[in-house]
Amino acid sequence: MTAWLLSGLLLFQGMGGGPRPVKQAGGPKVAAPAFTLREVPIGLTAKHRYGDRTSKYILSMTGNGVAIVDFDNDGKPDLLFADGVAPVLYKNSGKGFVDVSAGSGLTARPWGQGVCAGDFDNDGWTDVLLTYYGASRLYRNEQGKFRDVTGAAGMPTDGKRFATGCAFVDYDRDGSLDLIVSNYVGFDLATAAQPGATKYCTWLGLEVFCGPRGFPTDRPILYHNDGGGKFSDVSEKALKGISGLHYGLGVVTADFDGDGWMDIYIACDSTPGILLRNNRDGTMTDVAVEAGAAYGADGEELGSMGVAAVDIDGDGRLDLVKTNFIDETPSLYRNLGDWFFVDATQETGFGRDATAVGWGVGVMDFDMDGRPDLIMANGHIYPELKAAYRQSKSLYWNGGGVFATLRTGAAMASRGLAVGDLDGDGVAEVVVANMNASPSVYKVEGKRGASIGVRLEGTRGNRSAIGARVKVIVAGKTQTEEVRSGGSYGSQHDFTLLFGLGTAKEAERVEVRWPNGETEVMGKLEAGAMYRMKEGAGVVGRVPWR
Amino acid sequence: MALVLALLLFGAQLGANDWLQKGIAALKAGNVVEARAALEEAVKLAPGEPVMWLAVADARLRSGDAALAMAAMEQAGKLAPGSPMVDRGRLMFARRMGEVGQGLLDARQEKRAEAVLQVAVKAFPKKAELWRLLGLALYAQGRNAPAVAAFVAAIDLAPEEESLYAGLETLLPAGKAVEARLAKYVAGHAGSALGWYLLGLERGDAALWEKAWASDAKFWPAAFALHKRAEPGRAIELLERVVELNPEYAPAYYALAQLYAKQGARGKALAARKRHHELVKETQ
Repeated sequence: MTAWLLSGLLLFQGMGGGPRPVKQAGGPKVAAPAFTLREVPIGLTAKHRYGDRTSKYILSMTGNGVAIVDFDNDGKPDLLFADGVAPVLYKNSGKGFVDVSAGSGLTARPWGQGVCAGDFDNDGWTDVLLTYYGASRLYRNEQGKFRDVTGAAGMPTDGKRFATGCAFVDYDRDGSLDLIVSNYVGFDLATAAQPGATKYCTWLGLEVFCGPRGFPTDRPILYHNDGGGKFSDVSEKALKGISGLHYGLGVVTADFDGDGWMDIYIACDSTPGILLRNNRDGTMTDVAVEAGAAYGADGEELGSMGVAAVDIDGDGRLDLVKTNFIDETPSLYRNLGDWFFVDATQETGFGRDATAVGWGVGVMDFDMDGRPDLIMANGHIYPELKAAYRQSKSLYWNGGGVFATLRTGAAMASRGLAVGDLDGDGVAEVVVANMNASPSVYKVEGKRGASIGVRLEGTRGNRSAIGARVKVIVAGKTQTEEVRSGGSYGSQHDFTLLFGLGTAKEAERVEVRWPNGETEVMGKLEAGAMYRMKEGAGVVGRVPWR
Repeated sequence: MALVLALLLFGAQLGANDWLQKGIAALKAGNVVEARAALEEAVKLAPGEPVMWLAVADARLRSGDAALAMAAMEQAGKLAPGSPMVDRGRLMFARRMGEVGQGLLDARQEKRAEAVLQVAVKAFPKKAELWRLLGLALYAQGRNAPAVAAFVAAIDLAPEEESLYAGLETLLPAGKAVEARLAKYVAGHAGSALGWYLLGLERGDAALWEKAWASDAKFWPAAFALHKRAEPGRAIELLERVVELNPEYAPAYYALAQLYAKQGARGKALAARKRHHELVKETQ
């Protein structure tokens, strides 16, 4: 399959250009990476529709997420885009991507926001939640066809909640995937104020859409999977300590304290972030303030959109990275353990570039050197800015705990971003959803190390293995990753985890801690393939890289 | 609305003075639209009366038409050159322009504020306060270079007025012209903590913040600036003094929390994070 991506590359040489380092004073120095990200056309032709050409309402700002998900179980990751008019589903044919939205069972509905995936009924077919302004829609995957089961699941089918990020997560470890949905602002299209109407409707002298300040805040919703296809809203009793003063956007789930119970982080716009510690008794408590993960480096409320959990320094603890508004840099919170984070934005090199409005964020070891890198989708929120509305992507290359900051790719008004190996060559592509334009796909070009992939299937817990933690030990160093639903900005990364081995020919040891807490050791795994692992059965398949 | 109706029905029967009185009453009541309608009628009926033009200038300004307001003011001046009433009116008008500009800034209407203040500095180029406000309006729009120029114009008009320098704080370093003025100010005011602090920002010289701190042990911005360059122990000392002097300054608690965290003093860091959060919530 690599061939069709490469042929596209030749056709579009020069498109977007290679990475450019951001030259800003201060911060630690690090060399540039030996790879580039090149835009490749893979058949994603549908132009997404979202909002209008002016920023009359905040609803026009948020845009869409993207999911990399194998909806037809053919082993090849497909793509699902949320959209302002109707979701778009592309099937990965192995030779390119084909729009199969018609007849997919996904229905047209305005103001689609984010998307997350998980097999909530454990039938072996990955289901999805699409978030909306209005009412989010739960789609059950029935052997490759989706069916809207929102009402049947007991979830609201109408309303005016402005849902954005989401994730399936088995927070109570009962073996069924529950759902966390973040909500942005209390917004009513019928009564919303016009640009310039109040002090919350201007930006640097421009009359722009109002908000988020000035709008009522909202709270996240936690749905418990009751079984039998039913969900119930347990937010009131299960989510503790949330002030309610939040404008929620991106959601990531991760086991931040390594206790085997999934925790949740919600990136919030212009308000403190939410860090929900799993109390292991069916409840979660917001500890973001005490943990030091609520504010920016100077104690300011950040305009946060996207979020990722990543073990940046190889200490086995998952750190947090957030994308933020312009004049703020992305944030890195280093996890020191025991629910204590410190802002490490400056010393790690994340504090160099404050010129982007960051949205989706993906973690991927692009050069497979054994250290995770990050990619961020950027785009301003006010179309009135014309050229400045569109921004190139940000690449943070891990030079060993310190990151080089580069801008790469064509300038677009980007929102969602997901990473996944679309062509099975052992390194992930980057898929970016753009406002009122076709999506962009980037492929790594250049020198890179060896890699392995890990694809998990749960048997005792949830079948998607969401919440499973994988440790890969190479040359004495441990890489830690988890299978997650959601993440980024309203997006879904591929469930297959990729690990860089550098110059090593094999991973010395691979451990999987399944969502129920049991650990399986897989032993040595040779580089150059994706390994399928089944809970209780070890490695059940090996697919060599193409 | 009642006034507009009156204007339509009885306009011909009311004299200029009647409209003037109605307009002034409406202005006092804060009914700018009605005031302006009445006073425009008054100048129509008595275009040779400076007082009518002075009054309509005020109404026009309050309704956001700074240029038309200025034209009315000039008309009053032409009709009664050297008149004490017109001179007093001009002074009041200048102050009013500043008030309107400030009001628009408070309402985050930066562009409209700038429009009023541009007219104001053109009409009253010797009023330092108007230049200062213009600087704020430009800064609020992210137009830093013209903002600095406006602040410099204000400083040149009243170089002894220390408060005029304060507007530069977030724009520093701003270049040689600003540096020269700050240096000149501190040369004549060796005890000015603000002066040393700003010159320190301009030059990026922590020794000047030390000087500011030595000049006034209560001038906490100098201590806050200093902590960023100090080794952790002293930085904590400085920040603890900052929160003692200004217990409501949230960023100092957050900075303290960061330092405590890096030193492994988790309990203290936690307390500082909580206090910071409380203060942020209080301001919302």
